[in-house]
Amino acid sequence: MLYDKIKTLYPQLTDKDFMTVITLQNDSDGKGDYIAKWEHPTLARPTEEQLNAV
Amino acid sequence: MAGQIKVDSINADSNLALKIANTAVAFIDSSGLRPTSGNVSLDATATSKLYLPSANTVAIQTAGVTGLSISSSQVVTLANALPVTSGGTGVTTSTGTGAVVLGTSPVLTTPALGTPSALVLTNATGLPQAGLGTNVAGNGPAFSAYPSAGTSTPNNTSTKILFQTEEFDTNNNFASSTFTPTVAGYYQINAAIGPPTFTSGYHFASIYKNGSVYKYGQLGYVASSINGQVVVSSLVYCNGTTDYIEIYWYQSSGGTITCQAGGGPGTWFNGAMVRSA
Repeated sequence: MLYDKIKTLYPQLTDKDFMTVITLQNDSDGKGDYIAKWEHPTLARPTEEQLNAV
Repeated sequence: MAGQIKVDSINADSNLALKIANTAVAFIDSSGLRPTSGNVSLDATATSKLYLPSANTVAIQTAGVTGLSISSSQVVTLANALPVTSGGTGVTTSTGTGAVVLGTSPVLTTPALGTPSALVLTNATGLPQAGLGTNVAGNGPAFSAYPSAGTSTPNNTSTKILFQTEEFDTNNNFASSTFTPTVAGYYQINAAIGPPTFTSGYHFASIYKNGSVYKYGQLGYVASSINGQVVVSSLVYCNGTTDYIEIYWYQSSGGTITCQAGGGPGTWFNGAMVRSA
């Protein structure tokens, strides 16, 4: 799951972060989860390479 | 005596016969002047006139029935309407007052149409609310659907809920779990998502418009497992061409949850147009 990978990269993220500054989304179209919004004030949006490495 | 014809006697039929070249052309009897043959003609010069005493009426009769008459007050009366094929209107009665209305671009002033058997109002405007009949509702698009198979929603991931079964879809605007109305207007959109059991965490449903969140529903935090629903409801404007509506569910239970499916009341998505654009 994308959420699990991001939590591995940034363990300090909370559920509140995923309801406010970060939006993970799945359009149920078979393409899986993706980052729809990343507006975290201090943590950088993870790259594809970082996510694939997890 | 100059200027007069003096008749000393009349014949046995009490007629005065007029002859030209020894041929009878008319006679006068007690009913008046009667031509023997041909037409009664007037002088064709512009100054020629037919004068009648003011109290009299010119009348043309056929078989004793008056078809046309002109009174001394210049009122022309036809026994029957002049037909269209003769250049008339075929009109036999009239109502109202004012000018005669012709077929192209007429201007009608306060017309009372009565109860027409058919009336097309494609370009009509200004129909007041009070002009609607009792119990009249709009006939804009309306739909309702529910999932035949539950959608699995990962933790902390807004996921589009699939509604594979339609209960009704009046304008064929619902497909692929997406409502795309083809009539511009304001739509009341409602949805509920019922997990088999809510586990601890945040849960809320969202209305998505054109792929982005438009309205969040109730945000609820569940401390322990319970049964229930998350709901969302809002008025949404749709342009009738490209705007589309979807329902997403967010939950942070810590794992994946699959929403309820089937025709039960737990999970559903419906909407209807409540006002035109």
